Amino acid sequence: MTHENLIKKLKSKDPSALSHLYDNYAPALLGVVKRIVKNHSTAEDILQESFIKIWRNIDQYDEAKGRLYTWMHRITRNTTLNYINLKSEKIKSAERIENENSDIYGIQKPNIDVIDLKGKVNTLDRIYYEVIELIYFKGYTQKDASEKLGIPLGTVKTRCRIAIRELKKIYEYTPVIAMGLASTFSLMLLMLLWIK
Amino acid sequence: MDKINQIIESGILEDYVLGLLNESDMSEVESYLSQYPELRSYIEGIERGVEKMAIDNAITPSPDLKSKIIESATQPVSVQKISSSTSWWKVAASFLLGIVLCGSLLFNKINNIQSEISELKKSMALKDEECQKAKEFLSKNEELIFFLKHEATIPVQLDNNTTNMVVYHNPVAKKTKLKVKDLPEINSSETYQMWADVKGKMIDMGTFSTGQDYRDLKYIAEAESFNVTIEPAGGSDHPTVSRLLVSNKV
Repeated sequence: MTHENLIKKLKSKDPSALSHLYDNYAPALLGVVKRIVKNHSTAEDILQESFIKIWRNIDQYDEAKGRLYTWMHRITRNTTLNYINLKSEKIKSAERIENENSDIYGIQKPNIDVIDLKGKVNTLDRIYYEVIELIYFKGYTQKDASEKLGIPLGTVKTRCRIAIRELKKIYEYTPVIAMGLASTFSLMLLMLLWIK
Repeated sequence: MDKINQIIESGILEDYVLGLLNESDMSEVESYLSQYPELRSYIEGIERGVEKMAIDNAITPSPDLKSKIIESATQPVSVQKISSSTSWWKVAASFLLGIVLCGSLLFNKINNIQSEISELKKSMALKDEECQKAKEFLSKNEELIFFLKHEATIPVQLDNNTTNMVVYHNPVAKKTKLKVKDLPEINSSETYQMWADVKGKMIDMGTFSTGQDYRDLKYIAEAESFNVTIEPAGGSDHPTVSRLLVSNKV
């Protein structure tokens, strides 16, 4: 299923498209939820709620405004943050995400001393990694991140933008290298076959 | 072109991808996107980067989550309907069950009551019968007492060594009764017979045996004496004088 096809089928409410969407994006989205909400089953509940919102509001998704994943990530992230706000309202606690005791509410305490992100994001400079982890994965606002990291809001904004651009560069190389490797490999294979 | 560079340099597109913009900034970016299609490829580059990072940091969900999500997402309204209707069904079913249970209990109770009633009716009928018998017995006895105490009733004692009986004769009521107390033993082929002496002629008053309490005898108006003989079973037309048991005058 091509990406365009997937979107078309989603918009016509084809359940097979939902299945495809889940297979491709559920793990990535759960990775985001799970870094904000510690409890696995709660995180899955939030993911379920997010998927239902995605499915029901798929008509509102406009391809011209961005990629499907970006839109889905936004919904998932907002659902997660809503959950946390509801939860903290419910327990009538002024304690915010950054509070040391937030663990008891099932909210992951951000710990920037522990690098828990995987993949190429780790090749980012520490100062960029931090903001990406807090903002993208832990649901911090830029203001909260600036307080947490003890750096000015403007700096957070700048680092955030640079980090995103860096990510683009890091991941852009991947297909080039992969294609290079793949073509080299297949050439060798062809040669081997030809020799035989 | 300057404007495009300016937008890119501002960093608003990165914020857009990260979802950090407020409503008004977001619609601003969206208007840039429709205005400058060149921005699309730039944004897509950023998006792909973030997306890949997210995929690198994916967490595998539980195996059953997918079916749960697909089920609840594809049947959002009917799920609620079903769940609400199932609860209605449950209510209705439990109501029915309750009715059936209460009904069977009541049915049982009614059955029990009905059998009790029929038992009571039976015993009532039995008591009625007994009561009727008692009434009959009582009226019979009252009648008897009335007869025995009647001033016109003449008791005639008939006794000797082996025999003891009384004949009650009432010319007003025109009735004669016999009370046997003792009689000599006789063969089964024999019977006792009572005779009334009317001007030298013996007139049959009927046969009798022991154990019959105050039995009626034929009323003979001009009876001068009562005589008992032993006769062959069934009685005789004329008394066997040789076997006269006892005799007494009125």
